[in-house]
Amino acid sequence: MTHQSRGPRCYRPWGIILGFLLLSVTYVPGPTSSPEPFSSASAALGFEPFAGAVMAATTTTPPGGKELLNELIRKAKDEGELVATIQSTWSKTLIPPIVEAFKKRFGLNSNVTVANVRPAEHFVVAIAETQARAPATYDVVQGDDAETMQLIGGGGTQKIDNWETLLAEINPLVRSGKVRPDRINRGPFAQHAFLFMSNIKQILYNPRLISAQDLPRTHAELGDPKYRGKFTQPPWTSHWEIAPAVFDNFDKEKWLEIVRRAGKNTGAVLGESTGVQRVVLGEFAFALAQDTYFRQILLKDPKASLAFKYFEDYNERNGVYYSVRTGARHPAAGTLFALWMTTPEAQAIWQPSELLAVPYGESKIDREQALSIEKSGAKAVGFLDNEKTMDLLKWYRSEEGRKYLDAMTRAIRGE
Amino acid sequence: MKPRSSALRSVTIPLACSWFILSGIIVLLLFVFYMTFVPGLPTEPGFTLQHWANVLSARLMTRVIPNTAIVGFGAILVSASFALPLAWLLNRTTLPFRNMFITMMALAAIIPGFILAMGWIMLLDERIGILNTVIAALFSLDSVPVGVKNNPFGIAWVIGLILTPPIFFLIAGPMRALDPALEEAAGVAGFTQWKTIWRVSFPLVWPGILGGLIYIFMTAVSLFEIPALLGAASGKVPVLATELFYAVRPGGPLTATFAYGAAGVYGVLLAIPSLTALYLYLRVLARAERYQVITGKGYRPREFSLGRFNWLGIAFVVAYLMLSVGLPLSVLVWASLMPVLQVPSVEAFSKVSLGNYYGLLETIGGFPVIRNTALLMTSVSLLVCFFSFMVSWVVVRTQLRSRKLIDMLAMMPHAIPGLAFAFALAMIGILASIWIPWPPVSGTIGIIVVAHVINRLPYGTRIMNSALVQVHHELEESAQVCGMKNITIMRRIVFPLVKPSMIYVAIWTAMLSFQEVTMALFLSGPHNHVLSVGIWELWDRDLGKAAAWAVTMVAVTGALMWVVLKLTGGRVGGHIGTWARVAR
Repeated sequence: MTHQSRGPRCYRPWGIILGFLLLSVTYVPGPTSSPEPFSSASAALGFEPFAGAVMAATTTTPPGGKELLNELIRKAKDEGELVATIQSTWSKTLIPPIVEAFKKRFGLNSNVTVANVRPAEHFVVAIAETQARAPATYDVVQGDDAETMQLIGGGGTQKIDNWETLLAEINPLVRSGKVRPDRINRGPFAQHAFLFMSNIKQILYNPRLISAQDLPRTHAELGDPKYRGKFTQPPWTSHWEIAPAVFDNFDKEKWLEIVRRAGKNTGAVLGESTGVQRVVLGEFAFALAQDTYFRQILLKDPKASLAFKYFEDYNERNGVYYSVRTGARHPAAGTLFALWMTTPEAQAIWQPSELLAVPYGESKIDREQALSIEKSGAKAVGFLDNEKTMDLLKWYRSEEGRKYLDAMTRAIRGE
Repeated sequence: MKPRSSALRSVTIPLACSWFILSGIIVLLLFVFYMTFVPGLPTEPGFTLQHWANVLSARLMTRVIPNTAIVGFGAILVSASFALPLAWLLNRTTLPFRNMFITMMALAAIIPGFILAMGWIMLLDERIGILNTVIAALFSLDSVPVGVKNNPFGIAWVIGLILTPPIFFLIAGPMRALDPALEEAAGVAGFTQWKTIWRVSFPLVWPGILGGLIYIFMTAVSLFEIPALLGAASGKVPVLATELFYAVRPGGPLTATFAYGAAGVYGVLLAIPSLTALYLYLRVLARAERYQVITGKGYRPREFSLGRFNWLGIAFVVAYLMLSVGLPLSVLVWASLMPVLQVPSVEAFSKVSLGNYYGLLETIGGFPVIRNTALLMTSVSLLVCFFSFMVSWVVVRTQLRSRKLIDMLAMMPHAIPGLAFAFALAMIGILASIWIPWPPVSGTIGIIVVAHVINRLPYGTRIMNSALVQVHHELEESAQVCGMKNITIMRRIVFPLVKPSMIYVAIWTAMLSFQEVTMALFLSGPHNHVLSVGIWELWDRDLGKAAAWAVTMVAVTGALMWVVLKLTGGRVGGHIGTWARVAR
């Protein structure tokens, strides 16, 4: 009690003085509230010179794709460097071939650095860099739907003008008309972020411990007492968050209660990769995880006791995108890299070891994933699928949406 | 009595060095505290009390704090029960194989904690636990009521085992420096050997033990991975560290929402018991002369012979090492030989291969990562030793009124979660890049070094405080009478006497820097990746390869430790008596 009564008296004057001091040194006028933060944030932050600087030459007379690309390559050569990210979980052995292939494709002689980065950690710093008008650590970064939305909303990405023309020049699938450009860039991410891979959230299970028939069919069934302690799920919300855009007459409170019941039944809240390993170990019967881990485990040990099953109500398709950072030191090279990573050429380098599917791709893995979903009749839903899902993604950026996600995260742990 | 101006002159350099490092701590602490009132990022405007309101809930009082207290005090009980006898056995007795045992104690420190947790799950899990399965089969039981998952006592047991080496190293130096004259006097007075240990030896190293216990408590309550693996992350046994994790990332790791101010709130919550304990510790130090056992009068360390109880000592040491090194190392080796981790079985044995050991260097990022790690470990070691010595000198060897404040400030970084410090440093790095663009800060190995030095200072100062407390003033006074300058006295007399503790600090901080992930990960840029971050990324992607790396590192570090111990005279502290005599 003495501590509690004394504490405020000690801290208050110090807190106020230091608060003011720190505020004065750290405060940088941020963007005022804007209904379209992702379109105006970078301009409000004074980064307009970066946005569109790459394409400045194109604004007078629109040249053809080849000219645009050549101009971009010329600028990238002038920049002489690129600092890019890849998924934190990707093998570091992929970095040299990716760098070499990228440089070769555009005839660059630049110094290219590629680093494994976890967007969850880095995007906080990236947004702070943007708001403080500091140069970006990385020129081009990757992140999933929610992460990218966060970065765009914070003004952390820059627009790529003439992206459709450039994408058609760089990506043969787009050029040939096999893939429409809006499959790669659309909705709230338009001109900012480019889809290059995705995964499907589902159930991975150990057939020695549970049969496919005994598995839950819907997310709601995870709350059934018979599954108590038998499964793991990750602490993040991506297995649950898309539900508001899936069900008609969605009741937010009722859904939270379903998540909470499932949370109370959960044996352990673990990252998806760790959860799947514990399923193979035999500690848990099944895990909520993505399809990639199924392929990865089977590649390492074809006899591993692991199988997968889709939920019958929905399965979230989690997209991963590249975007060029606001304040990038090398925006032209960053643009080239972001667009090149969508190509089959880049995919052929990383996919054999990472086994992630490209939703518009034509590789064996891409076809198998598509076929598996089709055959099972499962419903795979992504955030950029339709107006309803895109509205939901935007809503999660609002205060109300954030609070709902917070409540969902607590519900996952049974709170 | 010295004139005041002379006394001040004698502490100018240590005081300046102390305030140099403490000013960094103060800036970071203020930043972290300021963040508790900021809704999002410090670069955004706004003021909120929401972080405080979110944290101070009924759940905190009824579940989180009781569980955290059980974990904290339970870990103290477990680690002290092992560490105190181990420190005595390996430093004050003639027990055979002591060098090997000390090396293995250091090895225990570099094995990732969650591997030990996994080891215990494989032993005691209700479904796959090998020990449980055997016991259940032997006694025809349906289930065995022994487990480490989903209960705070299990978490305390595993954390206690992991934190035994830190407390062992904290008290090993002072234990080696005990004046045998006092023990001999106790013998003359009719004390038995055990009574001498209990009534004379242990009270003399009490500052070291108390400092160690405070350190253990603060570490135990801030560890995340082990409680998370053993049930805390599921919300079944919530503790402060897991609550902190989810408070900082309210939407989970992938939704990229953040509330770093919450880390500061938890830091304040953790700081309250820590400061209370520190107050008690400072009261002990206020009577420092009681613990000054290194005098100029025929000082030399003495070793006890256990005689016919030698086997008991060896059994105790081996039992601990089996639990803390043997078990996790077995799990590590097993995991490194499997394509996908499985419980040992006939089928699993058919899959054993060395495949995970091929091309290890490339999987981690090549030579630059090794170079960065070596640079980090060396720099942090040297800087922590230097600043700890300076701070402890001021705290223990002077009568300055500010010394208690200095000691409390030096201890404070341990109360603040590493994530909050890393975040503050990252933000300061960003702002520095605008104001003073020429020195590289963000994304350099230097920023990680700064984070580690500040974070390890509490540990360094605990060891140095207890080491300096034991060096009697009369040695310096004699040197002063002989006309030596203060800096020479520090360099030629005091430093050699506390050198064993200094080496412990150096080794241990290097090990901790090698292991640390949270800060290094948050502060990492394209060019400053270190090994711990690489291995951590591997755990997420390829457990087998990560285990192969961990086994390799344990082997390499073990060999290095062995060399260090050999170079320092067979055992750290082997020359202490000689140095004392030379100084005299």
